[in-house]
Amino acid sequence: MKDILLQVDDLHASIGDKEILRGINLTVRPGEVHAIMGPNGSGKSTLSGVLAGNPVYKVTSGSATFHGLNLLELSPEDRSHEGLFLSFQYPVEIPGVSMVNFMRAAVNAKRAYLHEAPLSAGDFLKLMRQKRAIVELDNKLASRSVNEGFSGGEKKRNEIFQMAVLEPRLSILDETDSGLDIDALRIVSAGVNKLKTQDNATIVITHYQRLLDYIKPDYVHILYKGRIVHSGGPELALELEERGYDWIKEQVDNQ
Amino acid sequence: MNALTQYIDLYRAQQSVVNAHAPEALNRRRAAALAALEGMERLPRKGAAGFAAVSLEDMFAPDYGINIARVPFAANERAEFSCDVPNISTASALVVNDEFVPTASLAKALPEGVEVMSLARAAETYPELFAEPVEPRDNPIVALNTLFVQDGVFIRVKRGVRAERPVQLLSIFNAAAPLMAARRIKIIVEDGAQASVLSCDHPRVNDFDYLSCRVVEVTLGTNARLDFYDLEEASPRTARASVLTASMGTGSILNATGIYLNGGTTRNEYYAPLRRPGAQVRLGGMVIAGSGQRVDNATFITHDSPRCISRQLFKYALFDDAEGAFEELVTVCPGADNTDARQTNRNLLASPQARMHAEPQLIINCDEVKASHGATTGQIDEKALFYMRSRGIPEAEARMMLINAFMTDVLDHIELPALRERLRLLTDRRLRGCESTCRDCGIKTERGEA
Repeated sequence: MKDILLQVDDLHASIGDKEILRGINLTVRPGEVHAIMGPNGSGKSTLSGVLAGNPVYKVTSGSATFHGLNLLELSPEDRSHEGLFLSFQYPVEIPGVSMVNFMRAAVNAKRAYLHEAPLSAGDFLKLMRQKRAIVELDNKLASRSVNEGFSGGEKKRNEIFQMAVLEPRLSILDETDSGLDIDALRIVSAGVNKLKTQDNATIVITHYQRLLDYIKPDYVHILYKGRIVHSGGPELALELEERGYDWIKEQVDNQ
Repeated sequence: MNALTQYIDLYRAQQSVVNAHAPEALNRRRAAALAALEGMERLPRKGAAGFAAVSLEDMFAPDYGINIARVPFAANERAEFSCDVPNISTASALVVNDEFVPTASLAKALPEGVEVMSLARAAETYPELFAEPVEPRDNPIVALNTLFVQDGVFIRVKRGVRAERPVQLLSIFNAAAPLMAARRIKIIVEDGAQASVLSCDHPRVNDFDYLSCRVVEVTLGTNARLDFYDLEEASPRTARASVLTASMGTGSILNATGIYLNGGTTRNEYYAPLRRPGAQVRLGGMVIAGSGQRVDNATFITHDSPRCISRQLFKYALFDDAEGAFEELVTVCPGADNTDARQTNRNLLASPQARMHAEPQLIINCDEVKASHGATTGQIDEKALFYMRSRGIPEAEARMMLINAFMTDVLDHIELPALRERLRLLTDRRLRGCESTCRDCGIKTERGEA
């Protein structure tokens, strides 16, 4: 078991009175890339939100263990410190909070959690410079407010930039391809691939197969009506691309 | 007995003592002020029109003493008073209760053409500058201040002089008993002159209940400009009833920014009638209030001449059971063509118990007008909060950063970079819930060094 990074068992979660996740099971090991695909409304974003600790979702039963820790007991900030990262489908604009201050607060909060001294101003700027290069993020965005006035592509690149800075063990990319043109998609995917190591893992949540041409998955899961109804290798994504989701829906709905 | 009669009776009984310790130019105004007060039934209470959060009656009701005989307070003669906004200026002075106390370096620090002195001395030296009564005469705060004022601060910037460095005033209370002080700050900026004034209200340790009944009287000549920064970081036991009233010349500019970081109950009123063409008034306000604090800003701007501009930006962040109010009245008179009046009030309630009252009013009696106003009250953006937490920023820190960000445009209007940065720091510290420590700035008084 020690090789398991994330173990999700029979996870149920709701928003308000509505149950959205209805028994998720998932095992992720270091070095793996998992794709979670599914039609709209199947619960893909809920799953990413629940794993990251978004308080709008309520976990009603089941468990999630993150390298031996009870993930569901941790605050969103501690999940981040323990190495979980969520790339948002819709990155939030925060007027008045500069990217620099935002990242400094994030980096130093993690260092404090790990009992490390805050980074010096020089080291921090060096780190920012280094990581920006990974996704070719323009330096001028650093002085702007978080995501404010960023284009769709810049927002997504900014997510991967933050991922690069925080060096997570497990990254969840929630529809990172949505709203991206082909060039931005290439840059973002290249960034994700550069950050991949034997020790970390990635969950790619996507509606379309397109992203998986760039970020190659080891496993593909199909989420439908709050459950993973089918799992397979990379070929499953191609099959979905060809046949759509209807055959899966039929299979499940006729059971 | 209501609060008003208490002061009227005190004045009637002690009139000769009040007058004996004040210059004739100030004494001359007291009879009219008394008559104005006698014409009022009582001071406005909370809930009266224009008094949504604060009761003047309750503010003035406690049995405060007034040092009308000007007994020198023996304590703290050699004390070093300190300020949270250090090194902004060497041209600084203290106001202890209502008394002007120059710093040792004040005279040397003032450039030619800039006078900063005791109001009492100025009223003796230049009685002609005190010929006009302070408007609005029938305002209870103005009338009470006029009834008891004996000293304060006088600042004059002579024609065409641009005072580079700000004048810094530090007001504190120093009395071993509850005290009301009638503070008066009179600022005259003559034609074409420019000045900036930073006023800080600060607490003293081991304080009693105090009340500052303050009038800031601003006179701007043609094309004159004043930047007035008004920081309130006082003790929760210090109440303040303040009126800033401006007489604005043609093309003159008044920028007034009021910042409330700490204190007791506060009411600030602003009167800026724009009676000459091209005058501009910009009012900014930032309020961070917590447990038990009540803060009320009321603004009255009258556009009574063409091409005048008024801008208002007031923001409140209220915690715990704090209560705030913003009442504004902009009136555009017939003939005030090409008026440009904008008002914005945004409020953030950081607790379910906090209350905010916003009453923006715009009365337009003229066709050629650009005017807008908006008031919003909301909570912290939960999406932004989660986004920040998901990056590892602890919730409390994230909240603080968001509130800081919310306030940022009020502070952006502060034109002195050093002051702006200092106020950002103080805001940050206030939001972190720290008590202010003023160790890094000591202003020595002339008497202190004597």
